[in-house]
Amino acid sequence: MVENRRLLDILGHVLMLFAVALVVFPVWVAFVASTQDPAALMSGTVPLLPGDRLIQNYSEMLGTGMASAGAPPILLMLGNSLIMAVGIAVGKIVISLLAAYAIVYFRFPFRTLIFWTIFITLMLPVEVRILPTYDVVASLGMLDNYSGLILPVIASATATFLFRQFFMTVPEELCEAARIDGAGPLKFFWDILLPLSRTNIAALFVILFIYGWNQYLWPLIVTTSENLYTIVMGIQRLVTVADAEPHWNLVMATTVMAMLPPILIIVLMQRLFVQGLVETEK
Amino acid sequence: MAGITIDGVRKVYPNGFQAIEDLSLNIPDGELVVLVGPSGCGKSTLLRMIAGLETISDGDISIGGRIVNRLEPGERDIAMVFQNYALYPHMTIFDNLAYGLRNRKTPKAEIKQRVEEAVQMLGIAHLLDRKPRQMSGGQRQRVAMGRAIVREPSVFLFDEPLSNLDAKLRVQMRVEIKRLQRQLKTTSVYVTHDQLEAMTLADTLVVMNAGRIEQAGTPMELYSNPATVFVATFIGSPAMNMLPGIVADGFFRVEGDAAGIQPMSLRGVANGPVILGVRPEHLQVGPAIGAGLSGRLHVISSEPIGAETLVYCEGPGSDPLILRAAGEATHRPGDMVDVFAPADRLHLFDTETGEAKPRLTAVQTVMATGPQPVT
Amino acid sequence: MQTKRVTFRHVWLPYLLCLPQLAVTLIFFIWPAGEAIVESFYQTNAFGTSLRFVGLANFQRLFSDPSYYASIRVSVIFALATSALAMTLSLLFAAVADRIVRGTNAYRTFLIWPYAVAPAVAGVLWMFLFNPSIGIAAYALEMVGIDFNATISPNSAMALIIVAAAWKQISYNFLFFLAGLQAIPNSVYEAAAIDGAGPVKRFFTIVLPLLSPTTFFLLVVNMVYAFFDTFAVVHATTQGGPGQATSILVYKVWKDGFVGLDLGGSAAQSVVLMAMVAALTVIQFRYIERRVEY
Repeated sequence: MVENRRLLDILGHVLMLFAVALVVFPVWVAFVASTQDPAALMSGTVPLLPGDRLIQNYSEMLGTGMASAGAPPILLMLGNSLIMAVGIAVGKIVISLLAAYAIVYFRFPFRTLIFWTIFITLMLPVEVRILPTYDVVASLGMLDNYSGLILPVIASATATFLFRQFFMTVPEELCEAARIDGAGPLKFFWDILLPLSRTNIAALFVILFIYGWNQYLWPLIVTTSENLYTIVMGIQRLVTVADAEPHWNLVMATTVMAMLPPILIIVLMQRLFVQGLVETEK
Repeated sequence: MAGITIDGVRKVYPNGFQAIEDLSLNIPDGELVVLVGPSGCGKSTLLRMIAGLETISDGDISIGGRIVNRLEPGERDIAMVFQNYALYPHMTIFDNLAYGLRNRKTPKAEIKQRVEEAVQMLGIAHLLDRKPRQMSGGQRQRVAMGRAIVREPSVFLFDEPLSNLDAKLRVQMRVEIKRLQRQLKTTSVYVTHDQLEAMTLADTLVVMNAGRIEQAGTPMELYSNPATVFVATFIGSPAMNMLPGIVADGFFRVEGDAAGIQPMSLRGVANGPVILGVRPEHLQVGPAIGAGLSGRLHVISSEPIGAETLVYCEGPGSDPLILRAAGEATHRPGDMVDVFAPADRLHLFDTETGEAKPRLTAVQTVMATGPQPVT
Repeated sequence: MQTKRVTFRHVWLPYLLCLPQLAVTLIFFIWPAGEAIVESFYQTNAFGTSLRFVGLANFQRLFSDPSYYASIRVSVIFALATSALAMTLSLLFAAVADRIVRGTNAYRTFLIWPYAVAPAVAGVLWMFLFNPSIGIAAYALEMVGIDFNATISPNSAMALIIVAAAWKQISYNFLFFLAGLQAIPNSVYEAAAIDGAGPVKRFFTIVLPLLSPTTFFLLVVNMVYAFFDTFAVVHATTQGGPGQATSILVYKVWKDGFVGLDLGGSAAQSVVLMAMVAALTVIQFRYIERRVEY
């Protein structure tokens, strides 16, 4: 920048530290609460330093859960969340890649109709059409199983749109060169286009994994069996215990476990994620 | 090895735009043909039709006697070098070169041998493990050439392959392409909008305009005997000076204000409007020597460029008359100069059709005896 | 709608490629959406055993229902406040992060966290902080004389969901603002400095106008987020209460349909919401097309 005033610089760092505190503090408090004795959270304010029940609280929740609140073990819910998140991410990426490829690289009858049929779903979250979607899934006999959990959430065009935008930026000549080199449509897709999309696929995987992991309403209404609970919806069961203060230490242990996988992924794959999010979505 | 025959080919786009109209051209085996013309003249479309990247609306294209109209690009036994090279960015140079051979199920050992031969020939053997983005523009250009060479196709197609290089590299690669083509004797079609590149490379030069061939022939043929006004002005730099005028009573007079150009005796040409063309290099400073076009012109500016000096003089129309003088010439703006072009260096074109008329001979322009015609 | 200049020719392959996406879209989107539209014209009796065509009655009922207008009001306040809070904070942070020379990446690592946190979880975190008996934030507010109780006070409840929803959205906005700021060439700042503009003046006269495409894009995204993606925040914390104080539109659709079992009314609400999203999608598309010029 132009000025290099020391005061401004310090002020900048102070502000950024405030920003970091704003982001980290709620998570820290949750972690601290999750290590406490239940008594420490009955009254007064929450302590700001971790207590001594870290291992006890977590092992209890991971292994047995909280039957009184109708919550299965966290481990089970984590497994379900993982299946759902990976299912949604992989499913969406696969169908989006194929559809975007067809729409960009082929000209065929009804192409425009198909394009708009797919893209009309671009920004419509499942919450908006929740009741009829539930009806459809119920009439297809997909309640209480993984396909019902995953497939309806895949019906959105965001990934298709991003891949289409990316394919449009791939130079025309690459496809022409591949055709002269004797590659047919599938060979070009597999040998050239897919390797070129690697970064976008990885970035989208991060985004969609988080999207799938964080689903809340949909798993809440299509699962009745505790064996299919995902962790994000499971928290809700713990919080809304009838007429009583929740066991905050155990709720927070669950909360921390629910946040950990997506936060780890986003931090570890930070560069890919930022690049994918900002560059493809604008 | 194979020649290319283009027979009555047309290209009409779905929106009705006719990019190529009824075009026929025969390219003999082993020849380097350059298609040149302004942008939008259809040269790239024609090349891409030979490659199979554009469909043909009408007519036939055959390569080596086989009609290829309906064949996929990969089945036509051609290779193409693109303007932006179109290297596969995620593959090493070796894989870039090998990709087409692998798709044709060439044995591994042969692929390796052919790739090595090609990179030797191009001097990029040390780059085999690199990816395209780790290389300079010139190196990428060589890889693009290599990808064409390893395939050992019957035809090379070049789509403005040098436009993305800087001036010095462009000259260097031009020489190299010519050398490689001589060595491999592969039939080649080369598209460019740069007339200098076209002149230096071509065995046969094809000048295109508005979807048609204006003229085809050796570069020197096109330079000395341009068939149309378009070819005359397109080939040569600076462009040929064009003087619209009228033939009447055995004289050629420029239209409107003569700006110092003398009427020229002209026999054997029908009365009516014509265009007289003279190249800057044929318009000499000095008195008239024998028959030809002469005048006394007003210098506007001069551009010394070392070996020669371009002198801009006030012409009859809005465009200046340009003449090429010796490097040491010291003409200043405001000077008057006597200029002269011999009769056998002049070109006459039909005003209506733009087509060339027979070249003049000295006899036709010997001054008529008697009084000077009044201007 | 564009394609490549050169396209592959194949009779059935493109249909095969589109099939999975098309199938999922038709079954889980078009069909339910169609059903919502149809249902919005019908009414079920109290036992859910018979259907009766009622024309636009569901919509008439909806638009004469004061609680629907209350829900719209709540949603608009919530969406505006959430977008304003999230965007202002993110822009401030991004501007500072872009200005400081060292540590930008370290700060960024922390600031992207909330993106990964589920809206429901964000809600629970903030509910815990604002818990009237043990929450630290509630305690701090009490110190300055503010009584914060989201289960009793409508204003507190609204504040809670706004803070939770905005907190989660900071990451996304921050990343886009930062990218937008980094795309402004340094020479522009230098030229402005030579023209005598100080850092603050530069921000308002140069940076903000140049950033306006990003700001507009984010505004649409944030509004869509606040209107339609925040069901979980409300459901996990205030449950729409106290009373109807935080019953935003997406929450009401669910509640009237699943809890109130008013299928026709819920369907009518779905149709209205879908129309809203469609309108926002069109705006977004036009923005994407126009952005090229800038």
